[in-house]
Amino acid sequence: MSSPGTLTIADKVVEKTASQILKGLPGVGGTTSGFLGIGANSSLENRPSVDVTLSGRSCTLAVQLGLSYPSSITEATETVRERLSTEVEHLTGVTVRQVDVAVRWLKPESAAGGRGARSLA
Amino acid sequence: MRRMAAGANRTGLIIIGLLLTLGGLAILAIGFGLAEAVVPGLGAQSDLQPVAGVFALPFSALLALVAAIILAVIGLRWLAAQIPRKDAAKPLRLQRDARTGVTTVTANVIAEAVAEDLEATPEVVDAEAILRGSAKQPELVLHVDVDERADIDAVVTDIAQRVTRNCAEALGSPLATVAVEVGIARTKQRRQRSVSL
Repeated sequence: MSSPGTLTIADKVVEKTASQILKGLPGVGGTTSGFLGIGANSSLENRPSVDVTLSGRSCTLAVQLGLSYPSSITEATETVRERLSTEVEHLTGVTVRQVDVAVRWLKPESAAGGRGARSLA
Repeated sequence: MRRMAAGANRTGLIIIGLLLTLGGLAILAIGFGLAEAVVPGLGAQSDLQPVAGVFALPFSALLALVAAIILAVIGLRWLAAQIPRKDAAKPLRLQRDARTGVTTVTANVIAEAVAEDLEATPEVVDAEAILRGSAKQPELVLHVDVDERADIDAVVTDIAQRVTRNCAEALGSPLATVAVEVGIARTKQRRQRSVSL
């Protein structure tokens, strides 16, 4: 009787999956790296960066992201943690043990309109 | 905004003052002949031979070199302490349960967001923020440059009601102290070229 075969998931797949999950979260963004750091862009439209450390069938995730401001950093990152824990496991079968989050920037909503043009409304 | 080395200066000046006072008292004691009781032969008219004898020891040069190096190090450290510093808070940890992972954010990230939020206030030309303290006891120091025609009361009210509330909301704990320094912008504010209705 032959073996049904094995399924191998690379760490990069887990990283991309986690990053894509976060892209759908409102108020969470990332930074594009640009070329040698030149032209890096931080935006709520970008995907956060995720590093994964696999250990057996579980992993720990290190997330670097930006958040909209003002919002509770604790609340927002707990939402990130919960979403990643459930959805990464659901999509990849890899158990997420810990999610370390580094908040790299905060984007104030009030600054979205820029300073050159001011609203009279 | 930045902290000066007032404490280090006070300590250094006290030490130097004490040393000079002791030196002065010693010279007075020698002058009045009171030192002879402690060091025989050390009087007002003496040629300081007992004192000079210390410097004639074979290892006196080495001692002098070591003393000079120590004094130079102290002097350089004192000089370095004069550089004003921000004394920003250490990276803050804001997670609920560290067993599921940690959340870190640097004080600079918060300060930049607060400054950007401040600059959205009408009449504020430039703003700088420093976050000190800890996650449980955050302290905010603000410097705002306002337009010369600005209503400063309105700016301060906006800081008190909106800017500090936003910062406290982000940190998840009320600000222990808020210090605001208001300056008048020296350069003319950039001319507004458009308006959104």
